[in-house]
Amino acid sequence: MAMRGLTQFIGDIRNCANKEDERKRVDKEMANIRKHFKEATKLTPYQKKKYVWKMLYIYVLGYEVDFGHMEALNLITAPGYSEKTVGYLACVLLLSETNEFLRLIINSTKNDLMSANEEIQGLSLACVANVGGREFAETLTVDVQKLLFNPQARPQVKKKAALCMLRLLRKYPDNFAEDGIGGNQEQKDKLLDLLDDSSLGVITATMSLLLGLVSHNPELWPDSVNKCCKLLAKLNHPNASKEYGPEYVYYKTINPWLQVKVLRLLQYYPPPEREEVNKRLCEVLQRIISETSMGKNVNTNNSAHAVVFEAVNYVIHMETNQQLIHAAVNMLGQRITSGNQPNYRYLALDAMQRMSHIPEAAQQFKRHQETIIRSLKDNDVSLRRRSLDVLYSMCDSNNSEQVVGELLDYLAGSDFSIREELVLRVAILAERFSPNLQWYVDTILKLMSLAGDYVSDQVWMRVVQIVTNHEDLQLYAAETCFKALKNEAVHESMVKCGGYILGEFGHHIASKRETSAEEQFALLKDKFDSCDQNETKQLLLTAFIKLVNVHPDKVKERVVALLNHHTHTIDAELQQRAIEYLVLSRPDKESMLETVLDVMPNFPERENILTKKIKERERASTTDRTANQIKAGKGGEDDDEDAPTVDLSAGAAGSQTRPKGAGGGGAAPSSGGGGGGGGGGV
Amino acid sequence: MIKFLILVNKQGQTRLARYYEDRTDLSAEERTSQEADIVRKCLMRGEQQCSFLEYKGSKIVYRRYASLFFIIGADEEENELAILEFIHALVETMDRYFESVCELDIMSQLDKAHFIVDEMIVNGCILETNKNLALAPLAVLDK
Repeated sequence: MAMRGLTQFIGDIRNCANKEDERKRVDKEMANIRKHFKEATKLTPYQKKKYVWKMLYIYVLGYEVDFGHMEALNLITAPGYSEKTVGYLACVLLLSETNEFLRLIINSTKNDLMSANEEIQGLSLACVANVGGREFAETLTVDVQKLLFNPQARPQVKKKAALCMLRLLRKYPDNFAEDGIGGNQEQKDKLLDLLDDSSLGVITATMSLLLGLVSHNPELWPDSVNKCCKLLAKLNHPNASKEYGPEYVYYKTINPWLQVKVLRLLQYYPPPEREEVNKRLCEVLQRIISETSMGKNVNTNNSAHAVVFEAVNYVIHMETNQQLIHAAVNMLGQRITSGNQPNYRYLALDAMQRMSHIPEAAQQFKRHQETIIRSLKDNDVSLRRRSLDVLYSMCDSNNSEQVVGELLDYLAGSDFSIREELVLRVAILAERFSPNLQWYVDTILKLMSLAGDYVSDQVWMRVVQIVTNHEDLQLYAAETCFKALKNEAVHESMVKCGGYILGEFGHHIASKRETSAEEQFALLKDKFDSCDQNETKQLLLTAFIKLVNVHPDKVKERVVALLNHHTHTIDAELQQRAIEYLVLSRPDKESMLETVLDVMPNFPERENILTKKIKERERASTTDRTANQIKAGKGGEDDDEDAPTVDLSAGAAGSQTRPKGAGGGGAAPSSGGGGGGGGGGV
Repeated sequence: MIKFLILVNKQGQTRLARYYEDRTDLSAEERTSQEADIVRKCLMRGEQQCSFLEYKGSKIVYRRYASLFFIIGADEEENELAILEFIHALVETMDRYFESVCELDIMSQLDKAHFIVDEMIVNGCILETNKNLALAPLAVLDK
């Protein structure tokens, strides 16, 4: 069936010296095709085929093809098999689901579905499976279903029908539920019986269909668990290759893809209840995990290990079988140190990260901490990401200082795409596992100096929340911020953070000469002049007026001069603050000043804004829900990641007072709301 | 599910492309540039590095055969090693049909190559990995 015209065309394209020539040749050909299509009725089927193929080739090369769709569609209605192939392929490649042209072929596909010729049935099924839209679902579901359950249909047809069903069901989800296939027990049984079919192709296709059904409504398909366990046991039986045919044995593993699918389906359900099924399942899993070793042939290893890693996923899901967990941990430990096999290291790290919430496993993973830290510095970016994830999950109060130290080192040299996430994670780890609060403050300040651009406002606002709520930390925080701000090149987030802390808590250190009020003012004024963002300046103005409140005699003149300077500034917020603070600083408003700038109340306990941010970044992009997502939906209340880890109420012993003036806690601050997710009154 | 399968050579020219998720938002140019982007990332990696990447939220699994990169993009659920081996199964099937397949074969007999792919992946799911059964309809076509 070699089409000479096409081969010639391809040859020409290949011989083109550069992109320009190629484009010219393509344009010429397109004009040629357009001319021929205008006289569509005079073309023989062979010619039509040839031109449509040229069109497709041009499309794959990357040029827009915006004509000729009708001719392609017409080919579908042609009686010849080869014409139909081209027609269907063109539709699949060129048209997307929402294209109106697709509606035109619904009728012809329906006819082909009923055809006596299985190849033609296969063609139309594949086409619908690949691009079918909602209208296809409405019209064709019944017909496809008939084909699927027809005991006389050949396996070739049945397997495609199964995948076609999957697509139609996804497009028209009502069919999944109670009033569709889900509620019809007879149909459910027929579907499950397909799993006993003699052809592994049919079983594979049915598994895919079943996975789709289960992911939408797991509660409707409990019988599938037993069937799947039986199937898995059968596949791992030594006689399996004789029963299903040697062709399916792929490098010594029988159809690894099917086994992977079975294991994935099992993850949607709790372990089987019936004792003997459970036992057999565990035996099979144990054999898979422990007895797969690394041989010489890459493909043999890969196919065997594909099943192993999926089995590990299932063990993680089961969580309770100690023996299996132990076996899995051993296996992962071996893989992670396999030096020249980066694929396995990657997968092992990935599995470890998911396993680390199981306490027994987490303990044993600690042994590999050094290896993981070394992988953090690997020159393969994928491995670095995985080791970052594992370290994050593995961190606890014992190794937090070391882990955070390593992460900070890594941050200094990491690539920019993951810096923001890295900063967030370090901040969360520092807070959650800090041996003492001073270390926490130090770590965040170091974070800001290393990667200031990527430290979002929420990070330093969290620091402020914690410092506010812990009276004993305030002195230390003020001192450290003062020292940090003394540096020449300080990042703007540091200025904001330091400015707020000095403003609010600077009174703790004002008695020392080096850090007196004048010194604080001078320092902040210096930064004020050199900072870029208006928000920083606004924040610093508030800090200045707080200084005035505490030390009226020492800094008032200079602050007033500064405020006067900004009463006509362009930025509206800055101007407003300057004017308001000027009014507040007048002698007759002294009591109002005290009230307004009273000590900030403690922040209430709320969800840690940082963990919320990390969760938002984990997008789900799958069409079906994963087993994990379903679990997360049910067990959301048990998730204790949300509980604020630093107890915000710990430091709130009575009201905190400023040295001057009798503050009773809880007066409303001037601008901004009190407490909550953002920093109040900055 | 598998989102796409592309065969790109080292110069960034796409030899075969199959997309299994709706791609109404991508024009032809964006598509080619995205394919070239992915290939560049694969080219930058050395032999010793693993065959898995992340690109815009999907997992990329690739394998190089002579001058051609076989690249599959899938969502988070898929088992990476299974996909890696599927690529190999696909190559072996093509090998059997074309008798020691090379890039030129795929280019000049694009229709057959597409047909083989369509027998083995449908709607983003791996369907048939048995080489005989996958090549059977092709034999009918050739008659």
